Amino acid sequence: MTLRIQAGPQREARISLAHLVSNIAVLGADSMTLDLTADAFGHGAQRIARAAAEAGVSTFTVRSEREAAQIQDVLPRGTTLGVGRVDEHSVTHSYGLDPARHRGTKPVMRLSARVLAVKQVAADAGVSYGYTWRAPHDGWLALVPLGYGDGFVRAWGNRAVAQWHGMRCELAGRVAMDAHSIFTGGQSATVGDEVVYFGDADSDVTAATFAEAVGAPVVSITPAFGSRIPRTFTDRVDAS
Amino acid sequence: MRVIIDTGAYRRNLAVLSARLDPAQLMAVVKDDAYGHGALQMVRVARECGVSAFAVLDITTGVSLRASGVLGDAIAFAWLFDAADDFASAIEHEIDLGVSNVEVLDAIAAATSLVENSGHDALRLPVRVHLKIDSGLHRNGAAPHEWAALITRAKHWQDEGRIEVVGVWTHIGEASAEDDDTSRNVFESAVDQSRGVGLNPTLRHLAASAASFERVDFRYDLARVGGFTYGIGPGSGIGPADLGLEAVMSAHASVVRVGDVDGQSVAVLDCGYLDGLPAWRLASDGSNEELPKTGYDVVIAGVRCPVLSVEADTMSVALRETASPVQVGDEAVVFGSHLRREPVLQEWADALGTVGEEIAVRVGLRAEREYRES
Repeated sequence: MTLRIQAGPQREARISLAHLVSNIAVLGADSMTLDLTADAFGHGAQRIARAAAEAGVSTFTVRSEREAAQIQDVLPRGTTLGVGRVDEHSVTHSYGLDPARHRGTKPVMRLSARVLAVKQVAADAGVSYGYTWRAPHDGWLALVPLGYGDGFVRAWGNRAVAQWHGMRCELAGRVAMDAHSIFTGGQSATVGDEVVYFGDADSDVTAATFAEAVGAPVVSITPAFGSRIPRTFTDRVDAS
Repeated sequence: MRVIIDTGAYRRNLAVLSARLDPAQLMAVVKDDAYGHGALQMVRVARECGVSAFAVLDITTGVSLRASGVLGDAIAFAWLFDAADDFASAIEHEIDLGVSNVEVLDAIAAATSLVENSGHDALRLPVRVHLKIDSGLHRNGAAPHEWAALITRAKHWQDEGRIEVVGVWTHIGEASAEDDDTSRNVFESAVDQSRGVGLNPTLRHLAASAASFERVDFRYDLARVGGFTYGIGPGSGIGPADLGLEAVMSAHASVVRVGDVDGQSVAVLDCGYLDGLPAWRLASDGSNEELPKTGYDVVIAGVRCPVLSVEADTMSVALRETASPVQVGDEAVVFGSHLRREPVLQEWADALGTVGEEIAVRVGLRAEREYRES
């Protein structure tokens, strides 16, 4: 069988089950079908299904018979699982991928990582492969261990922003397979500082923001993180 | 979607590359589950082909591979960590460590004491360390002004019997030949300085796939080769065929519908961006200009079919007149090997404004994998 390697501890996809339950309440638990395709769009099908069932959802769906067979065992008792095409509108709403357009919804996934190293750069210094980004002035870079091998889209380099200490920081240069750099300007980050990408309660940056940065569909962003980024579940909605 | 991993192609690529790099040693890069090809299987094959050094990225991956037994006594080289990582585990599993700063060096030295005091009999001191100089990429690596402090500290821990500096390394930007030459000069100077303080790095490594393939003077003692071993071309028109390599991964889907859309005969395949296929399309120069919709193909029954759109779980392709009409259930090769006249990853990557590695790893980590030896 294949070895599915868990990467190191410096990254986190934090899943808010309370936000999921809140989104379900907005949609109406009785009438909704929750799509669990692609491991619940990268949120973790088992925990998502359990929390949703406790919030009154009884109907789930996935996109194929193969995926249905894979998750059948982890579904809560008394619920049904169908097979059907992905309804992007419903998925965006359920997982709070675009709260700006779906009023009242909240992001279920919050993506963050910890600074691995910092580096001082002079004005005009090139960063990462091809030197596609150059420092606008003397300042500091922070190296973050998230790369396209983790589902962090390579094209976000020079196109997206991260949040560090509440400040928006450019993604400086090409995203490599396992890391990228952010420019923190005149201030230096400290190794271990948290860098947040989307889904933070205090920010309006969402998965949709990252999708728009490269013209990708909003529901394509979170599934890519899959099992490469450790998930933590908050709010203890489920009893276990 | 299903991917087929051709271990025969991997063997042939390793043979081509090892011969080309000789006498420099090839370090096979197997991070990110071997770029989505499956690290256990790829390491097993590479060991049979005589490869004895592997780049594993982080301690967790190195420990998993060492513990699985496939590595044997081969080198496992990890470098992505901070001073808080699990160095005790790395030491017990004999992972070579790539170090960029004094804090990490001190943490490794502290971990040797911990492991020693725990009486772990697997402990083999000194810990093998490769010191990294930043030669211009500005990611990790010690900046040139920090280098003297790093090698002095390393010499101290080496004299204490805690570590042995076996290597000096860097990562180059490949922005231009001139920039790479500048990086090479920084690297050479760093090696000289390390010798000046009494270190003896016998593994000097600077180059990855492209630079080690093209430039003899960039090979030194060892080259870290990832993409090329999997037959992934560097892009901008250069594919595996131009390098004497062949694709290891091919991706396969099925035709689920055939019909007419606006007078165009179209087939719908059962794979889409939820399978990892990129759902964006960007110019390779980084501009956001509007691009034509097509530009990459799949193959059905030996005929190339331009991709019209990639949706969540389906993909539409244009059909041309063929002798035998395409039917539901037919197999489509989404990308594969030029030797079978299939589109290669580099064609997709060039059209989408990315690199083949990104597509391979996105698809390979999620798909069902099947291994074949051709």
